[in-house]
Amino acid sequence: MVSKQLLLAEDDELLGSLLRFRLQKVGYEVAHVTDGKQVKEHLGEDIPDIIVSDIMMPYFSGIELIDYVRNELDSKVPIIIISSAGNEENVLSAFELGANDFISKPVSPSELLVRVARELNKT
Amino acid sequence: MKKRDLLEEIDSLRFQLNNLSFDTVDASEANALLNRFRKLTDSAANATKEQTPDLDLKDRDEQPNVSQTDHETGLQVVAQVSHEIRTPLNGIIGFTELLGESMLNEAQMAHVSAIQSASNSLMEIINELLEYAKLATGNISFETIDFNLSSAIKDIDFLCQTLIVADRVTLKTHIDPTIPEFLLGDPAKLGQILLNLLGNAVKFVKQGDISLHVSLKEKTEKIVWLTFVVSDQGIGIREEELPYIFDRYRQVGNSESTAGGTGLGLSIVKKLIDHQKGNIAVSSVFGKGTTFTFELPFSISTAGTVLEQPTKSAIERELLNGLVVLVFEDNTLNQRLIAERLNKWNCKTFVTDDFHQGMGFLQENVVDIVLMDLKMPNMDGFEISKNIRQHGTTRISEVPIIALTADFTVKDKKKSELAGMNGYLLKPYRPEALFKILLENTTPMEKNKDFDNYNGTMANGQDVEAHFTLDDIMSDCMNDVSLLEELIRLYKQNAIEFIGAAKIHLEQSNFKGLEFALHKMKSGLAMMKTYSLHAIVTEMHTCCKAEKDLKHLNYLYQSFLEEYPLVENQIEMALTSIKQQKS
Repeated sequence: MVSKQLLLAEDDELLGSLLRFRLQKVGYEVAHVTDGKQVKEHLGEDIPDIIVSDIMMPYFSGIELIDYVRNELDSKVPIIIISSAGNEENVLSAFELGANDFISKPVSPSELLVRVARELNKT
Repeated sequence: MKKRDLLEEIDSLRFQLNNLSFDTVDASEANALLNRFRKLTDSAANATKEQTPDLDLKDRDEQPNVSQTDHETGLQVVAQVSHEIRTPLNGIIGFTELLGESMLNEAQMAHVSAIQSASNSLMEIINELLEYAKLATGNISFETIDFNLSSAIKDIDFLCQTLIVADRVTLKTHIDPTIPEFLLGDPAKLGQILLNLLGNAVKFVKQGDISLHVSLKEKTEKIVWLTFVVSDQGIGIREEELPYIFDRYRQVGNSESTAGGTGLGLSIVKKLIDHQKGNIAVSSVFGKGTTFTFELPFSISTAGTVLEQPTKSAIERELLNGLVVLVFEDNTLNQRLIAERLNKWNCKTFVTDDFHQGMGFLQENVVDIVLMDLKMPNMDGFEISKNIRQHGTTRISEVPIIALTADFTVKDKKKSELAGMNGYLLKPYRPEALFKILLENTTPMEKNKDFDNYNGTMANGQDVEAHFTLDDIMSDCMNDVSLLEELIRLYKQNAIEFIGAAKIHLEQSNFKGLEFALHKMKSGLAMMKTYSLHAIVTEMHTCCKAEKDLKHLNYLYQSFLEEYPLVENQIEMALTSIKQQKS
């Protein structure tokens, strides 16, 4: 089976490293980027099977990312948003723009794995 | 309409509601939905009336030829209708509430209120139907609890004030001060009676006064009889119609009336009062107004005070902060609604409709409480609860479980107790009710991890040292020591960068810069579960957002500097001990 490609956009390296490790461990091919510029570059080359993105990122927020993917790229790739507590407005707008799911910080890697698998099962 | 047609109609409505999104709903569509629901509930009422000439227990006794099965089928339809509609409607109401709290422009705000009022009237209709079915079968219980009469009346007054749309209508309440402050009885049922009567008045009166007077009729050592008078200056009721006013399905002045509803309101009121051995009378002058007078007995409470629970959002956040909640819920609308609600309170939430996913989460996380929808497609809430209770690990088998349900009968209650559930919450619920049940069913120790640790550290550094462990993060790393070491390296690097950046930002009073640095630091601290530092940074973040109190920020920064070496030391020690275990 070809492993699923996952784009992880998380500017916090600590959290990012942990999540990348756990996702790779269960067989995803993970590209980890730490800011919005890199996200755009990456999406320019290829659209992954699923995107996991923090809301707060330098240059290009998670919200803008959803808008970009849904409207500019016109892609229905599942997007899971990572939000910090106290940012409910952002989560609402994320859903309105077409995010599929969200998970709030502090992120439990096991929970993220379940959420990712669930979104991929839907498609 | 045949029963099968009715169920089909319900199904199609449910489908529509499930596919509803706020981008597409506007006032006219909401009204169209409302109209469809009215038609549906009318047919439901007719259907049940046809099948069971009388739902009323007393009347039924006088007509022994009505078979029990017919009677039950009729009630089943009513129960089904109410359940099927309440679930999606609950989602709509809750989301509309959330939507109303977000930043909206004027036009959007108007749309939101339109959805709100339409969905609320739908809910009223459904609830009336259900209520009636329950009353008719005697399937309703009255509580005997301590309550504060004047604050109960104040709540009703507030609710009714919100119903008034015409500005030429006033509502006044007056309570006889000689009535004892605390009574024993069923405040919810009293509220229901008053809401019905006052709600009717608000609905029918276009101009003039509506008033509620509560007076003391009789007082013995233990019991008071209260007289409630609800008067309005509305259109009044024709003399020939007065005798039928408490009958079912009858809305006085049918042809000219435009007010919505099932027409069950007053017969519900009558039944509620009869059940409590009270009495009600009506008098009216057509064209001038109507007066309802009812009398109810209450016991005098011996409890000196009744607890009130004012909930302020700041306190709420603090109290439930970090609570880990597992929610079993299959309706996607409700899934999102409850997750967003809980996140507002800083709870850590995982929502699923799948038994195995839920169990996986329970195994990998220390869950404080489980909220359980009872009706789910694959395995229902009772079954899942039984399985949780039979789990081999005590931490899992003893987790508090609260049932979430749109309809909870006495039978369900017994079943849920047998399944080991700890309580229930009826949908639709107010945020306050959810908050209260979370608070009641979890222990304060678990809820205030951050806060307690913060205080513990400030008071006594050694205390926390003994508790600190890297075990959680280690299991997140799947016992990979090299990854753990890498994370600790990044953690230290983050902290050093933060210490430097924060110093500069504080010197320059650069709140924006500081806020960004704090944000960056916060998630790492939470991840490593270094709560003492996390609490300091969280407080700094709050101060920083308000862009004030530089002095306090400096003080907190100093605390961070003092605390950090201690924490780093704890981490090193914990790491060493993990490495020793490994080798």
